[in-house]
Amino acid sequence: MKKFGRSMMTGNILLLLGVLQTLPISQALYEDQIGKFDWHQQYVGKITDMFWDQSFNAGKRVLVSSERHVLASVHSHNGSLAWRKVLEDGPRGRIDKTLHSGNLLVTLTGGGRFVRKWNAGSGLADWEVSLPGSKSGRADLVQCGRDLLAVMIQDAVYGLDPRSGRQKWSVALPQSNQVVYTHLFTSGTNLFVIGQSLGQQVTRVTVDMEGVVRSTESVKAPWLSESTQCEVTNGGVLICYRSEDQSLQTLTLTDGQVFKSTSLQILGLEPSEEVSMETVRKVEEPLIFLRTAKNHMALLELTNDGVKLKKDLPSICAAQVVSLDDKSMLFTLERIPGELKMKVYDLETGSEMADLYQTITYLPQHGYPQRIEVLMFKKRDLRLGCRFAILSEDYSMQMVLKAGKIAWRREEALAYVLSVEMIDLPVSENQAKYEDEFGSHKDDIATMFMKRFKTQISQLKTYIQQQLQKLQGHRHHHHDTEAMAESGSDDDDEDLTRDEFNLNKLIVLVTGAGKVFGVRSTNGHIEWEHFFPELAPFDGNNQQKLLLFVQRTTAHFPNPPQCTVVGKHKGTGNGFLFSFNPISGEPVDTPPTGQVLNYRITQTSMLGELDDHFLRGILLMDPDNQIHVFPGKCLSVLKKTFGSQYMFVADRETGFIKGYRTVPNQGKFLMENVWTVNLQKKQQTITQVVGKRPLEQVHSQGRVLGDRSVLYRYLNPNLVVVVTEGEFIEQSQRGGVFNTINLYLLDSVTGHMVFHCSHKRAKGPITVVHSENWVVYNYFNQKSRRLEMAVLELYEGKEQSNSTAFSSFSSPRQPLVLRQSYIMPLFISTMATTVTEKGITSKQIIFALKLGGLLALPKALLDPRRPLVPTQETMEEGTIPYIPELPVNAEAIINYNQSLYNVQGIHTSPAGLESTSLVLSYGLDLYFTRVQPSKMFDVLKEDFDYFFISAVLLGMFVVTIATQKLSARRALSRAWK
Amino acid sequence: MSSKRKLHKWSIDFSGHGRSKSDRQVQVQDIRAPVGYTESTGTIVEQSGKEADQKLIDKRSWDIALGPLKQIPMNFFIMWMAGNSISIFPIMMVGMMFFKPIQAFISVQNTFVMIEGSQAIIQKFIYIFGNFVCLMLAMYKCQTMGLLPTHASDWLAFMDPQKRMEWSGGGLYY
Repeated sequence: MKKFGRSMMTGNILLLLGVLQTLPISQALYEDQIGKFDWHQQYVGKITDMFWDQSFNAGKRVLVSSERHVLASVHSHNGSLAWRKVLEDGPRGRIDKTLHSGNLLVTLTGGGRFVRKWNAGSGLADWEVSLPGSKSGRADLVQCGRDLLAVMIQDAVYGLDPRSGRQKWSVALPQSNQVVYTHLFTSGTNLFVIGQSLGQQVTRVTVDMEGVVRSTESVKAPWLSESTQCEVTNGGVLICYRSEDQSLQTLTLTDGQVFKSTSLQILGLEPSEEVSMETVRKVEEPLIFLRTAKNHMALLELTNDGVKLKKDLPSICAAQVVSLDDKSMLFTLERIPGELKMKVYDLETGSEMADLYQTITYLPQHGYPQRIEVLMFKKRDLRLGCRFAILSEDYSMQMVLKAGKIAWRREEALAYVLSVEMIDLPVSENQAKYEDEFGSHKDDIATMFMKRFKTQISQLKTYIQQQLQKLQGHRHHHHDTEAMAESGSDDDDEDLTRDEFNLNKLIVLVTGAGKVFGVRSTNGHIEWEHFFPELAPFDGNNQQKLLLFVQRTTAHFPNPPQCTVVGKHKGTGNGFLFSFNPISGEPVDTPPTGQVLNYRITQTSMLGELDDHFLRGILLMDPDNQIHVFPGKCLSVLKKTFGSQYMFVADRETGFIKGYRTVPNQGKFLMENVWTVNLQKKQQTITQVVGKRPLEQVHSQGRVLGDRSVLYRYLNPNLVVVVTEGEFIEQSQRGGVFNTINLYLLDSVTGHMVFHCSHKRAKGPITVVHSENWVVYNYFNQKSRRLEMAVLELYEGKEQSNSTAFSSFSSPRQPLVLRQSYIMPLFISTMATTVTEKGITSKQIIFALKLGGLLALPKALLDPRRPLVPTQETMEEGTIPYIPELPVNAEAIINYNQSLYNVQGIHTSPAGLESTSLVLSYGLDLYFTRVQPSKMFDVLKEDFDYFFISAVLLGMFVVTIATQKLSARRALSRAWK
Repeated sequence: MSSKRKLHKWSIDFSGHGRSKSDRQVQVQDIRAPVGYTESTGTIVEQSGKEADQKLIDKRSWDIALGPLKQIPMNFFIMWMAGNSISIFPIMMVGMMFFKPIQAFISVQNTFVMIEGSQAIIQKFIYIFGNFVCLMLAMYKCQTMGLLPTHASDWLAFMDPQKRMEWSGGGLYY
């Protein structure tokens, strides 16, 4: 057994009752533990482009590019990734265009900044060309014959050699400061560059294959506006859709002088709000799809006289035109309940090809299919066959290989996780009966005795059954292949019951795609899913937010657990709620399609007290400062406790933070403004407001110092950290504008400013971890040009003002604030702290490194009491001497070699074992593992030598008996003397 | 069986076989002393040494009474040797230091039986006092080693978390 590595830095020994308290920096895992309790799922994000691989393994792979800056190749037989390239973060990595034909796979990224040619088989980059990039962000790429790639950016067109990437020529585009160039098209021996000037004209620049501008013409188009969509079809026709008067404008690129207008009504199509166009690339004829609704499309043919309706496709949600051997076929998909109907038409004759017709079982939770990508081939008996991939509304990708069946699916919505909760699994049936016994106090002794008797009988029965099953061998699972293909899981999952240490959970994931998943923590398989096409995240502050509340945990048997998703309705912006049982996924209290409220939600909070059925109500605040309780039955709790229910709202636009208290008003509850803090919008913007976990368990009320006195912690549950970022102009000779960061610690009940600190020449993005009595945050130090970590710890002092209760109104006004900062040698994308059941275990902070690792460092390294000069007293206290750099060692990386890209967040959750904390990192990838910040102190290790220990015990037992016998004999013989 | 033995005590077995040890003793006691043997020698010694005996008893009692106090310097030495670190040997030593006086207190009845003479009360008092001092010494050792829960920090783990009086929630405007 090879060890990956394990390092333990035994810090200073704290002398307490003979127990050595050691400080483990990390505990890496053994090679054979890989994948035992961790899993990793790789996603690509919402797919924007999809091609069947035409290179050496034609038909075996699908090449995809996504809006999450990913280029990947997917095996068509099982949906696994052959390779995946995650391009740069931010606008530099955005994929503008992916081009695939034959062996050529070229991407244009970052608004024309980079042209890269990839090897479709291995995913390696063959060459890369860096171009100046486009100011408008619009860039286009076309292939002209075998020897030329043309790239258009805002002010120039470049000709590149596809084999080497060498630049053959470049040509500047005229009037590039007035015209926005949007499209590049090749037809015959000419390249056409289309530019738009809003409200004025369309500019057409003709460039030949040698890079010489042949002509520049402009065509009047006074109707051109921001909302106009334009596409260029094969055959060289520019088509624009005007949403103002629902008309299509067409222009033939080669010789057209004026736009020809065709109204949708003339074509016999019903205009709607969401009209879009989808180009047809695989045939030479000028065809284009027009989509007027999610399930209504039309195939249009563009002629010199304007637009002609080739085929109206009512109730069709996805369509594609494919050609094979000079024969063009139209594939259409129609969604009917539980199934998809695929019909194929011959484009020339318009007749249906019955032998390709098929129906495919399709789950309703994928929404409408949006795109299909068909691969046609001839079977051995020369009949036509096809396989196709379906992209649906819920970002999923599904593959049909054999007629009628979905072979696999990829849930790309899981790359957009916004909220996570881990829910305890319910106890087994027997355990539940026990709980039942203690749950009800109304029974008399006789019934309780009978209950106990029955449970124990049934326990005995299951025990015997288990033993019998063990004897019979592995139990046989009922394999339902049909159901498996539908649900996509290919394993025999056990029942959802709690394990011995409550380590396995059900992870509820709420995604920005409007899909909610229940995922097993053991293997990452999807247990249930719900899709709400109308659910959208709150996106007020440039950050998407979907809220997930756990209203009742699994602990309150027989009441089922309950979770609620709070978001907004896509169309109206009103509140959208969906409440469900997280274990089974069944809706509770709200309809299965979700509940749309009749008001907007400005802020949410949870009630402090539970109702009679252990349900924690959600408070929803509307723009009129009225408070709504969900579910309605929790209103009685608010009636009782409204006096202790407060709320605050930070407004980024105005820089104000307002605190509210609850007041009853004619049977309703209103929020009354009681305090306001002005954070000076002119100078800075509120970027983050971070509170503590509402139900955080803090075990220790203080900290033991070297002289064995106690420094009591300032554990204000209502404390929030408000981060603002701003700029200031330096007054010194050099001058210049620098960024500044302010941190405010605010009591959210009273509005009392507990602490404030400011970092000059520091820049975000800032991640804040706020837990117990400490705050850890990071910032970029512009002066030293490095990432720094700062920590604040708050203490009441050596005396505790009130040891039984904490009220914000009588709390110590100025707690003792200790702070220190450190150098973080690596860049991080986010961080989180571990959480354990009772909060006894020391904490770790988990950093998601930009390099792809998850680094777990003990909180003791980020401790403001780390002394510069270690003394006897600090050694007693167990603090590590101050070293500015935080150590990064390979063993502290908990995801070993499984790199994670674009980590958006880390969710930690307690397990049943106090030593263990469960970690889920989400972003482009999902990675689940468990950490033991103080090592596994409550369970024997897996490599515990049971054999050795029992052998020693047995040996000692034998020796005891033998020596007893011997000594008895000796005593006897001595007595005889 | 016992009734049988009792029967043997008062009966003479003429057969001679199967005699038990006790029977023999019974017989030995029954037989008179031989001629010329006097039993008075013991009493003569007793009479002559009565005063010295009392002294011896006192001396022995004082030995017992002062025993614990005499151990104190030794204990000090052990304490000094053991040091203040917490490891297996100092803990064993401290344990012994506790164990001895406590054991002495438990078996104080037996010890007091042995203490006789005129100064018995003082001796008993001194004996108890000595053990008490030993115990205090052990306590002092614990104190210096930091094993006594005399600081607030020792009770920290038993403190309940503070009850939350107000509930607040919120954040950035959605």
